Amino acid sequence: MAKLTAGTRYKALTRDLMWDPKDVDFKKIYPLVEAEGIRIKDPKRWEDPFRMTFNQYVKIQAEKEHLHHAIRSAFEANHGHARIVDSRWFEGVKAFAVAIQPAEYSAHRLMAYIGRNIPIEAIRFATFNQALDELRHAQIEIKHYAHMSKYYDGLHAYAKTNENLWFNTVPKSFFDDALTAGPFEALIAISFSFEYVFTNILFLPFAASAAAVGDEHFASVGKSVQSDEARHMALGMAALKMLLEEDDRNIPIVQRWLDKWYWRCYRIFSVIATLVDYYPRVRAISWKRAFEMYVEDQVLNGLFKDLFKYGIRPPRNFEDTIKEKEHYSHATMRILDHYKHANYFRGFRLQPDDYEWLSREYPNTFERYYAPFFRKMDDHVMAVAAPGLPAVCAVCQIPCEFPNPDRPEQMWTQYVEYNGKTHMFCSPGCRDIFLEEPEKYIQWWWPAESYLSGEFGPTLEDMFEYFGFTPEEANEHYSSRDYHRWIRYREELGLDKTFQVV
Amino acid sequence: MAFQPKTLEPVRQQPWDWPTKNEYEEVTVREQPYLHGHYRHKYYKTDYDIYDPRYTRIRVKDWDAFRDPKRLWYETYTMSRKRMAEEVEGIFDRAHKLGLYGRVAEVWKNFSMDFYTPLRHYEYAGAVQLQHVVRYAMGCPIEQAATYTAFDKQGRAQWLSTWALEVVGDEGLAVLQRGKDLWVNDGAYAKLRRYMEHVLTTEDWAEVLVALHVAIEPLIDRVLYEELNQVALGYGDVVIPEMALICAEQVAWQEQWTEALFKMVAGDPTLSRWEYLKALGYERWPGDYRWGKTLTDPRTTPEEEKTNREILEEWVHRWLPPAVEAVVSLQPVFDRHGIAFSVEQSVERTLQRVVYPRLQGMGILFQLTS
Repeated sequence: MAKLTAGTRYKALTRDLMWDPKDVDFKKIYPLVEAEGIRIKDPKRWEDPFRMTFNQYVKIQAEKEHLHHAIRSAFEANHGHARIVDSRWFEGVKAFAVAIQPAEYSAHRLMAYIGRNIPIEAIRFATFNQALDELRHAQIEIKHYAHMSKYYDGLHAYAKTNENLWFNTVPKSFFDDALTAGPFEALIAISFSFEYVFTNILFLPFAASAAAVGDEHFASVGKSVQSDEARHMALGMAALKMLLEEDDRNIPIVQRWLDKWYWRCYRIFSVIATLVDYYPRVRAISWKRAFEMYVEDQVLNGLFKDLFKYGIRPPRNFEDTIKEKEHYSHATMRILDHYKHANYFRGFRLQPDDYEWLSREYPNTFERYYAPFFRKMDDHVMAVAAPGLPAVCAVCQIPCEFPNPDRPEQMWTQYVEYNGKTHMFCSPGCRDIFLEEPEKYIQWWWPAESYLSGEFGPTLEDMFEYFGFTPEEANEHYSSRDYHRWIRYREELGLDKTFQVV
Repeated sequence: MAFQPKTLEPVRQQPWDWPTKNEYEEVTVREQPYLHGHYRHKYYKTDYDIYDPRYTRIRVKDWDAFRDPKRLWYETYTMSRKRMAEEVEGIFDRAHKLGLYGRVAEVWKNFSMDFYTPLRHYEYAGAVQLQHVVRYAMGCPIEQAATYTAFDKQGRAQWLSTWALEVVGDEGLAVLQRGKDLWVNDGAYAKLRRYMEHVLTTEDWAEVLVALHVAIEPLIDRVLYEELNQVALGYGDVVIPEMALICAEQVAWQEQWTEALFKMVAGDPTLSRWEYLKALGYERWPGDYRWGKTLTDPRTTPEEEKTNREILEEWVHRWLPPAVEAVVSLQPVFDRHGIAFSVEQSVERTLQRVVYPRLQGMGILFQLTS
């Protein structure tokens, strides 16, 4: 065996594989490398922080797959779905399924795009590993939903739901935004802003909630995915530092991207906030505390202090995200309840223990601003359903129904005139993103406008067909057929019995 | 199966509204969204949608109908490649313990370092351009196969590097350096290098697959991973042939799925690039309300006039002759080391046994006039 150090050996395997082309122009191979104004002087000195070779990758990943699919098989074989503490959890899993799973798939295509177009081997090798990881995540998540779909509503035409439903435009527009950006912006958007800043809060609290309610399969999905994310986060950090250190002229460009993508990421996490605070009946942590721990302490107070030496300041509007932490999950749950008759996952009537937990975790806001809204559903679960189509934000595409955290009795909605048209935004954060790139955001697809143009067909049945589910699959969980089936299923297995010891 | 109470029966037997026959199809079909992309690219093909049929000239009636004959999805891919990785490591480990490199004739050792190390750049370039295919190909079934193939190519580039490091020990880095120098500056590699540079600038993703998996790779991979095995054994080298057997397994799959894809494509008489929307259940789709307003209307792009078969034929005519030339021009590397092997004959054998019959299977009659 050669006496090379591991580092030298790794370099020998993964560097210097590309050459300066002699018969074609470098810019024909890399047509996008200068498009964004990023300057790269000596990319060779950059290291891929994980030093993962092909052999290591397939061995480690095959082992992870083996473990995860064993857990999945056991869950499927042993009626795992009937053993969780409350079936309303699956409504949250459905939200995750049709929103996050396609996002993983988009990230897969996106990482290949980045790796192809950035001529830096260290980055390319890591992004290509990640392109495979993202395909893995899309697939292990879809396997969970494939099994669930045999017993529960809402998932059976997820591809159409993803293509056509208003709710899915939120995560879809986020990834479409990155996919249509230049390769360096896409790298900062996903590897740094999404992975480094937010991915902990995506998978750790949700996996903890899954474990708390007894969904062992989904807990394993979360943990197994997160074990890959550690690599992605390291890539995000390396990529950011590289761009900042290569040339001072990169700094204002990177700052602009951090401003945009911090808020963009933060906004799509609104639904995650409800998956943390509302859907699990046994909660692992609150959104507020998770946000304080993973974003405020680690990112805003930790990481951005370190970035100060590069001349990078905390992202624009970050104060708003801190102010909103006591409102975020409640305002978002209120939006979901408004439109639960036109969504593939259901809202649910809050139970006494929910009111108790939410009041305790959110003493300043829940009882005062939100509990009265949820109590309206005590007599009729559809009492709060909003008639008509929501006006949605032209950037994040969430209905414009977020309260101003400084004056919670007022909406935060912002308006901008552009090219003779009025555009609406849910918040100053989204408005500022629009103002930077209006030509991009005027292209957004708005399902309501599609519906009015006749694309969804003439009847409501046509519309639901287009959405990929039926009206019976929507509405409220405890009055739904999913809940009643789940109860009967448990009775059949004897899981409804409680045993006393005397 | 034992009696199952009705309450425990699933409400649907199939997870999705579209039929799936196995786990591979469950995780592959309809993964890519086809409608309602939110924006168009800021810098590249600014009039094209994120997933747009215009990234290639070929048209099919259903992009999601392609099936990888091996049905690889992430689980089965990593499981099979783990086995291969362990086998390759085992080969190097045994070679080291048994002192096998010491038994290799000097002449072959010198040749093999000059021949196998430059070709890691060829594998790597293929991996890079397949990432272009992964981004722009239509539908998950096709791009998923391209993804794993690209990763295989990176793997083979690394195995070739590992081999060089193992053979020469501490001098390994210098050998890799020399390999790169040969690749860039030696006349014997010039045509192959130029070919790969042209592949790297080819935008039509289906054409990239023709250039790589139909034209050049069957020819060169037969030399690399198959025909030189007997020669190597003759010079006392068992390491390269053992490694080559595993590489050949990967190569066989990449050619197999590409052949299946182009058979499907060549036999598809579809002339409109928008035909596939019908297979997705959008037969009555009136189009996107933004077309002509905030977005250009993609339907105003003129349709391709040639049939798929004619397009494939055109590509084969464009890529196969330079591919043959590029491989045949490697002959001086053999000659200068005194290795008796005719690349030309090897290429001719592969054309007759593999490439021509395969093209005939696609309805493409092609013969090189020498």
